[in-house]
Amino acid sequence: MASAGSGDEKAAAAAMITLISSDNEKFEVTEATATLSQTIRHMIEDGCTDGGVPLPNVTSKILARVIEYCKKHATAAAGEEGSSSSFSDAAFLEVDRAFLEELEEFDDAFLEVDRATLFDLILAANYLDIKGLLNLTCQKVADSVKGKTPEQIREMYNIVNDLTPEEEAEIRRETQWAFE
Amino acid sequence: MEAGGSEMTRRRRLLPSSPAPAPALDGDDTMSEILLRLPPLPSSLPRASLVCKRWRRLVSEPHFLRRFREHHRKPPVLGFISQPVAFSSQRVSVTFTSVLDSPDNIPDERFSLHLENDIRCKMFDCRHGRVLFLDQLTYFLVWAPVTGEQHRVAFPLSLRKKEMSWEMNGAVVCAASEQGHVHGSCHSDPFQVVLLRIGKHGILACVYSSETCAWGNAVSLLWPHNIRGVYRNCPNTLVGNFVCWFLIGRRFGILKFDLRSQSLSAIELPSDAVEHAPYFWINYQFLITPADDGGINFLCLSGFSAQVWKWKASCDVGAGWRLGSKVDLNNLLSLEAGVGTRPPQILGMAEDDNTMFLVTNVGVFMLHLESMQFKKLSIRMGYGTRICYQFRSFYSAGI
Repeated sequence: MASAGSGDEKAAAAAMITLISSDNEKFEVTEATATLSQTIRHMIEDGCTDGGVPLPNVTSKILARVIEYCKKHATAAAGEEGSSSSFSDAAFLEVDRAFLEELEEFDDAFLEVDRATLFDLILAANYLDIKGLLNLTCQKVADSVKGKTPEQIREMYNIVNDLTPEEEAEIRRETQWAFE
Repeated sequence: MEAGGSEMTRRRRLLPSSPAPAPALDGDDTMSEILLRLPPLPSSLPRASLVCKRWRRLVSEPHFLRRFREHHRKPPVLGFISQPVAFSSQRVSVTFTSVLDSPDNIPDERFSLHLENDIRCKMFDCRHGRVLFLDQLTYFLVWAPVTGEQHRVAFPLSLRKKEMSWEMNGAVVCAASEQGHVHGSCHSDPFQVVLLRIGKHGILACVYSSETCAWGNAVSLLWPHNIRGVYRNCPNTLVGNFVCWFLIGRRFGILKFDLRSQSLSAIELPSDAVEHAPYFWINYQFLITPADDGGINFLCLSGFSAQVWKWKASCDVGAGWRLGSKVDLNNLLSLEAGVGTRPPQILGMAEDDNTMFLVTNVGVFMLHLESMQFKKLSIRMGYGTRICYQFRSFYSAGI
């Protein structure tokens, strides 16, 4: 019961799933938490989770964060629907305002991470197919680029400009107003 | 949250040497996920495409652009398109005015048009990336500002019969039939033009399809209230499957064309909505607006006072108009009107957002008609500007 999934009283009796990170750390979580990941949901449906679910692309550090996110959002979905179905947009709309605000605060705090962690979370969310987490993390990066010039974006993300001067001139010719 | 947090700190201590992956997003999939969450404004994709080759390739892929539209659902209003009062009989001009701030303010010339050979053409509609002009006698012209493409099509014979008093009107709509189609980049999809011929006692309508390059059968509706015409200062509005126009005459009404069943119908306006002294209605301004519940609302602006009527069609006791709230625009917009201050003038509306644009003594406002939230725009437009049409698009300048 010392695992990451132990705090969920409501679903304590529910089936538990063991997730195994790339560095061989085991995390025991409820099925409701795990099935926020479509990838894991499919594995459960196919009955391939006995003996744990190996996640060779996700480190224990990132998996702990992902589970933290899933637990919070699974509670949101389950609390409203009274079931362990996955978090969906429809369920999200019905959750009362106070809880929504709390969830938003949680998400904001959750995103207070360094860039490397944020990118790892995106990769994990994509691999595990967790729509809410992918949306949250990608939107954070997109927002950081919003309104920035190409030069500022390259500097922020250490991107090398490999466009030829001709290509640059071609883009600028069409859309000079977008760079003023 | 506590369990996860404490676990993490514990693990950090236990595994100080766990490999820290390089902060790079090498997969095109994940990079696309980020890029499609850029704001749908005109400068977003040109700027992204100037970062590096990879970004340029990603944001120009048709699949990405389709997902970009699907993610954002509603294209932004880029600006207004209007036909100024002609000073020259030699050509017809249409001007674009951006409503966005830098760097998204597309130059006015980009979507402006001068027609040398269509000098009788008047602008009647702009929707789903296309502008509709009618030559009162013989043909329509549809122009797609993004591509510059123009279609001229002769009116069907059934609508060209001579009669003492008649006028033409019309609407243009996107006719894309693919499932989940998001408007905003429809300039290469098929379109339909609904053409109206309004006579003293009835209306004829006929639909042209760009897919079949043919006109459908004409349908008609009788209206027993001496039609004077469709009020030119009230743009038509698309409400669900209905294109709606404001009819003036001895009684006022809303003319509806059902795009699905291709039929015409009309609803009379409440007799007390507008004072019926001869020509008194010229002191009013009108808008047909989509209601939140999918129904039709009718807004009547007289001086500084805006009044909304709501059409309820569903109840058993009979369909009818219900009077909604009355809004004092002087107070709401803090216009500080004094003696002689000109009342607000309706510029047009964004039907998809239920938002109206107004010229006032202190500037141009955009006002949401349900929430009554408003925003003052940084553009300048004078009183006397003809009805403007909002131009919405996911335009990104050929990216």
